[in-house]
Amino acid sequence: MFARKADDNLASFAKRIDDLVAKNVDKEAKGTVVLLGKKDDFSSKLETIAKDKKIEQVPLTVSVDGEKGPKQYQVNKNVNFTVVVYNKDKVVTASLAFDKLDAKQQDEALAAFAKVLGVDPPKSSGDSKKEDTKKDDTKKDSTKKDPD
Amino acid sequence: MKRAWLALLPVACVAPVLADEVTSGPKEGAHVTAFHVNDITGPNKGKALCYV
Repeated sequence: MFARKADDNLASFAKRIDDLVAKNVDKEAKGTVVLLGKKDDFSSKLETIAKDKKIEQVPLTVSVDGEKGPKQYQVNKNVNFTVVVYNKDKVVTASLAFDKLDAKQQDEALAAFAKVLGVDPPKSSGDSKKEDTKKDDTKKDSTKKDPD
Repeated sequence: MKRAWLALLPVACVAPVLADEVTSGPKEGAHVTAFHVNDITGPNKGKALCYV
């Protein structure tokens, strides 16, 4: 994926890609995060993201082509996040353009990635929050039923 | 005459929406090609290489 900024959403998305790649190493799943800009502007932030999020499978990189990115990829200068998904034959199966990387956009991109891998898409980050809430509710309910 | 105007109206409304669709990246079905990056993290940290 190509990104023009390294914010918290990019960090969480990179982690989710990392998890999906880690679970599908046998399918030769790979992912790369490419920042578009100057190396010096992003190096420290990317190192922090990799360390904090424990990203091990997906390299965090900076394009040697600067803000424009590799010419042949036609990355729109007005788009903050461009996700390119391709298969084993290196044929593009999806190119997604996002201004932001909220849960909705992350889910859409991960679904496209999962589809090309032939696996179920990972749970939405929104769903996991809902599940946590349900678990909390269950705990509360069990407390009500069994006060001892 | 009124019917003709009514029929044209939906087209006029839809056209600007289609024109605003933003795209980025290679088109579906295209082949990806090699490009180089400066690796900041991981085992290849500090190297300039291609991951495609």
